Amino acid sequence: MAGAQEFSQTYYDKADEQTAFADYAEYRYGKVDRDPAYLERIAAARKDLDPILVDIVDGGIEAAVMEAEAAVERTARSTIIREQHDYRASLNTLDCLSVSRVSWAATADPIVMKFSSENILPGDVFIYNDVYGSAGTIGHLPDYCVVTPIFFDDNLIGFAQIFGHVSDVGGRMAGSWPSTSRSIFEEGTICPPVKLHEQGVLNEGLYDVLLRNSRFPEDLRGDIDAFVGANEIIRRRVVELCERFGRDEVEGAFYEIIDRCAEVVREKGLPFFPEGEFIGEDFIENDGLTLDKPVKMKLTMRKYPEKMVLDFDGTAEQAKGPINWALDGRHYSKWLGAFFKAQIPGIIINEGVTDAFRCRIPKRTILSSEFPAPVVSRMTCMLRMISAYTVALAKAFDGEVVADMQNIQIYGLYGEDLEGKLFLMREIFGAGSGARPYADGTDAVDLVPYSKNLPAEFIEQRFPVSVERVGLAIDSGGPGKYRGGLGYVKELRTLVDGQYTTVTERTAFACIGIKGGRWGAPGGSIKNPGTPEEEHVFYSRDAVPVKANDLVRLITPGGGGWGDPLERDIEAVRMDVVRRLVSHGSAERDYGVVMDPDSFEVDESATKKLRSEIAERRGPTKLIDRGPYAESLIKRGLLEVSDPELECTSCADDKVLEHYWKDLYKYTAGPTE
Amino acid sequence: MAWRLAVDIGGTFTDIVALQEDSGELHLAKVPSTPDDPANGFINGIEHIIDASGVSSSDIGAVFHGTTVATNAILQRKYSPLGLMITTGYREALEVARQTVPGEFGDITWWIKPERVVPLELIREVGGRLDVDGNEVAPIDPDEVRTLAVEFKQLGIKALAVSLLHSYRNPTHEKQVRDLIQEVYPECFISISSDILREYREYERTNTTCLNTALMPLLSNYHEKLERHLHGRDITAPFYIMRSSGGLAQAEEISRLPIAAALSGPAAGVIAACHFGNLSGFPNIICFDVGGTSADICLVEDGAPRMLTEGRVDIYDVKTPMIDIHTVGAGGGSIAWLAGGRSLKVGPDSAGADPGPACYGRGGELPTVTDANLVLGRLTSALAGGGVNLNYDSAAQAVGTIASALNLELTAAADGILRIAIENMAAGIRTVSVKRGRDPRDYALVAFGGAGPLHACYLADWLDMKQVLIPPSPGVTSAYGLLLTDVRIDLVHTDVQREDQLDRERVASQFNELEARVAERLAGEGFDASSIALTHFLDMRYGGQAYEIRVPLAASSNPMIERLAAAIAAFHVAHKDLYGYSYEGREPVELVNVGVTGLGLLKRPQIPAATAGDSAPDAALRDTTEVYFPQSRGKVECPIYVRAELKAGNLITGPAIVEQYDSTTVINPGWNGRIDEWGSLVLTKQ
Repeated sequence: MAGAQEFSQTYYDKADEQTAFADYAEYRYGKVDRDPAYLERIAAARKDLDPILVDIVDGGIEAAVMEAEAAVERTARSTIIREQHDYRASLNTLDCLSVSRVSWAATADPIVMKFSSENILPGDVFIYNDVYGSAGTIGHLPDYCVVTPIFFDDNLIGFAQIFGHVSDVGGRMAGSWPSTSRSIFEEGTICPPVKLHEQGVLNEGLYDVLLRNSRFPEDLRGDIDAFVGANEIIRRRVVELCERFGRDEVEGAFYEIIDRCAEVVREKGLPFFPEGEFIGEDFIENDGLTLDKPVKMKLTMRKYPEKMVLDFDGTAEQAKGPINWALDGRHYSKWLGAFFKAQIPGIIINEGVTDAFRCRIPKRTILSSEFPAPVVSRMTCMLRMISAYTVALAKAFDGEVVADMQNIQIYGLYGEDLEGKLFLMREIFGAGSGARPYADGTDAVDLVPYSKNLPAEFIEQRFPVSVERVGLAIDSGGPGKYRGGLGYVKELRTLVDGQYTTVTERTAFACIGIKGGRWGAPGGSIKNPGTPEEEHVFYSRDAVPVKANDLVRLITPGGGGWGDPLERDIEAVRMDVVRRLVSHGSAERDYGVVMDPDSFEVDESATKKLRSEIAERRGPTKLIDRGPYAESLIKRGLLEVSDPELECTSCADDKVLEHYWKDLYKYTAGPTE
Repeated sequence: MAWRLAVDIGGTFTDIVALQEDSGELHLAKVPSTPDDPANGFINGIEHIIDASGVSSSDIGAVFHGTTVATNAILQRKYSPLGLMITTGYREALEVARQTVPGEFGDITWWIKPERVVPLELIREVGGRLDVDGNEVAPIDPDEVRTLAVEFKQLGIKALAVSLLHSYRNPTHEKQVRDLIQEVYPECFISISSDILREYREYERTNTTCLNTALMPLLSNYHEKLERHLHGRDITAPFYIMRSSGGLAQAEEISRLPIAAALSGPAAGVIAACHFGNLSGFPNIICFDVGGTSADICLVEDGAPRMLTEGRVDIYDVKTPMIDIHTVGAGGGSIAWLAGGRSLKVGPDSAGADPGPACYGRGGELPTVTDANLVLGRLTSALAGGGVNLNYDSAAQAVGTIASALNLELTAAADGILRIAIENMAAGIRTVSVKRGRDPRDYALVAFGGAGPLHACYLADWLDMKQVLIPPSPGVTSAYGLLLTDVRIDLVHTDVQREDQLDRERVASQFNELEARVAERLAGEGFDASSIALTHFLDMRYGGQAYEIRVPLAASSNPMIERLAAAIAAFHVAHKDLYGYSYEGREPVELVNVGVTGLGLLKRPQIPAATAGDSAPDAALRDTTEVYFPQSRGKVECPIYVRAELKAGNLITGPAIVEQYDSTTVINPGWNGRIDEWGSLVLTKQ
């Protein structure tokens, strides 16, 4: 790997642009040989390819993937797949490039690397979840991936792929999601790439082993059967396309669709970006074991005329706890590439994005962990990568970007139900989205498209729980000219003794406000709020005990605000107060709007006066506002950021750290080996 | 001499059909729609047809209406402000909704949540709580409810929705709240969620109830205005509205339950298509109803469409029974555009009726599917019997923008636009067929609506379908469909039970209760026992799933235990059919809902046979024209026939064009047409 130093010194050099991309091979773990005869045939097919045929194939693939995903949603058992849409279907070329627009889906690399072409046959269905044995295509063990080869006239032409997050794959904890694991072996059963169906015949023995290792074998079987069925839908559709248009034409179209994405990114996306070097940083709250030590995500965005590189040099080294993400630069590019949509709405992101936009990952970091490092909470890296990218973009675009957000939080409650059976009620919660330079953020939404929360009437049917509140966290949206979206609140009264588990970020760090916009309120959970036993719980935890009749309030963070809150439209502030999204106190304190507490009538002159007083007291606004926890750590020298002059420092306060660090290890064993 | 009048209001035209019940004598008319106040179009239409047919008021036995008033009110957010009373703790339930962002990963950055039906300031929490079994945990406080009702009255809110947790299990609390509101605010429009949708999932039930409530004042006024006019003309016959489910309801009921008519418009077309399919011997059809902005597609087996229990109206998910109609944004007015500057796309944006396609010469400049058809010679110079003249040069200019951007010849660009539109339509057909394991080649395509017959052959070629049926008056098929159905009521009750722990007595008593309620309502609408038909159904799933499949509970005198066993067996088959596998013999099924459908049977009109002729269509030949067909790689000469002059038995060899007042049919090379005894044009691939 070229040293980052050397790289940055010459980055304007066209030659170095080549180097940066040549280097990239090292960051694609999958090594799939491409047969020259194959490439020649594809090149010939693409020569006179009718562009409209390409559109039709594109539409056909999109419809097939949607159809497959709909089938999974309607038949899968695990709520996390079915309601929360934590699964992805895709179509791969023969050399494992992702054609369909679900850019961050897995690819078939490990199948092609492990099985020779004579060994991939019609009727075969492959399965795996082996993070370190799958060429960086699967992120954690609960994601079972099913791959079905697609044949046309006895020729292999590509692969259908679905992976989804199942309820339980064994390991130390119910739900297979320990926040304190030190090795992947604690996180569940590892299944290397193997054949679940061999030429149409189910390998019953293998299936038994996989199911026996789950606490909820019926859920797991339902999920895997749904995946196999859905892949079959994609396979059938692609074969139909070949029947209609010819195999060479359809395969040629695959590559044409991929290249179109690259072209659009190059022609419509990259020209937006200013040339230069912009550093974005953000922090994971901790590695799950050492709770007061944040973990750094750092990226440097380097823009060349036709390409862009994100260099993750400076990102923390591999963690002891499970926050590592063990994919490769190629997948990270596709993951972040989707955020080009903020610049070019409607752009389709597939493998082609990696032609113009690449991530360089140094060795043995939290983004390139090595076997057997634990990985189950890799979601934290996924989300912080977006946050760090937001900060870099803010610098590149002088703040004209969407503010920070954290729209996935996972809460689970487990124990024995009234009949003595193990239950696990787990829900992915949305949160407030970041404010935009033109509009407020959205309240309580999930990052994953089509994810749905669990209806209270469903929860009460299935689990020994009463849902006492479903709503929004008042004052959680980061104040700004445009307000961050509000976090989600749900109150559960448990009817049995049990434990709850949290996989949460932004319980101490806040979603970052941009260009004068303020930080959004962090989330967390509160046991028995408003009673003498009230107790706040922060960070990810494996097992917080609850007794029958305890009330647990679960709160997710608000999105970061955008722009100076003193410039927010007064009527918008008033309506927020009327609607109880913002309190009277916050309206005055943060927005400088004075109104009658009963009639909600705004006092115009008092508002004008208060706004100018606040502006004077506060001084000029800053580009980046990370909130009190981060600012306190920075002030104490416990964290470092690259462009401190761009950062707000108004709320550093040691009391904040005391608040968070009191009883730090009450529910976590602690960092000792 | 009883006549039936049917009025179907579309985006551009209001279609009216008058039918003599016994003789089958038929009058058709089209008047312009009046989107600002659709009631005027209805009234004009009624006046027009009465004048034209000479029917006297006292001879009118019933009036039928398919309406998009509810749909448009939702689309344009033109409904009344309303209040919502909801269980304590759930004030923000509509804000949270299902926390869902539509689209793709990354869209959260720019997606903005559409307005909710009820803003937070008009939502109030009410105490009282039921548990999951419907047992009272905390009672309703009457004073609290009365105070809130008075507060809403003072705010000028005329409609109130009530939605309480677990009311699907026990509606007592909601009924109590309704009665309390009525006590202090009797003139208020009220709907309670257990009346609108007696199913679990609080957000969907609440949202559906709110939408229903929001539409109540509007639909109520609309129906009153129409009825006032009818009464003014001494027409006192029953007045029926088409439901989304394809059944009819008295206008009065739709005033109370407007959400049931949210997709009233396209339902009648499916009914008519089934009718013409059955007459001509095609019980298995795919309905293809194409207007200006969209194509409504529906798969029909054994003469009847599939029903759904939920769907989408604009941005709202609504749970109300509806025919499984799949709508794609591909119609005559769909606009062609270039995504990312190079990928040709067609729709979903439409030029609509105003300004309309470029060739309408009403100020539209963007290329549409109609323009592409005109450039290719598939349309000649006029639509709607000369009502709209088509300008070739404007069409060529608009399509030319695409041609030059893609560096294509004009006809190649026009054909490209048409191909993409056809592909969009074909994707819609695959969604309702192939996606469910049905092969479209086993079905006849029944094409209607203004633009359906224009694209039918092309689409059939694309999908390798062998039979196409064009009804006699494709442009007014939907209005005709209003005359061909019955009054329908669906009632559902949620009670989740596992197959292996099933309380059969409970299921039987639930069916009995629903049956009694349905029969009572139909009796109230004047149906005697001999004209009431009841059917039963169950919604089931495997334990752990969250979506149910609806299966019929067969009518039989067998004991309930056997009937349930047969329904469960049917569920396993349906699951395998839909999703590729089943757990028959491996896992118990969960029964989720029991339901009853009641039909109040109306007398079917007699349809006269078409005038017979010999095989030669020469008498109907009007002219010839040049038409581009891709397989001919250029324009070929085609005869133009006048549909009204064609007689039963006439045979037409493609390529050919058949023109009529309300539509144009293009018969592709390789296809033969025949007018059958019912006047339908049956096209068969050679």
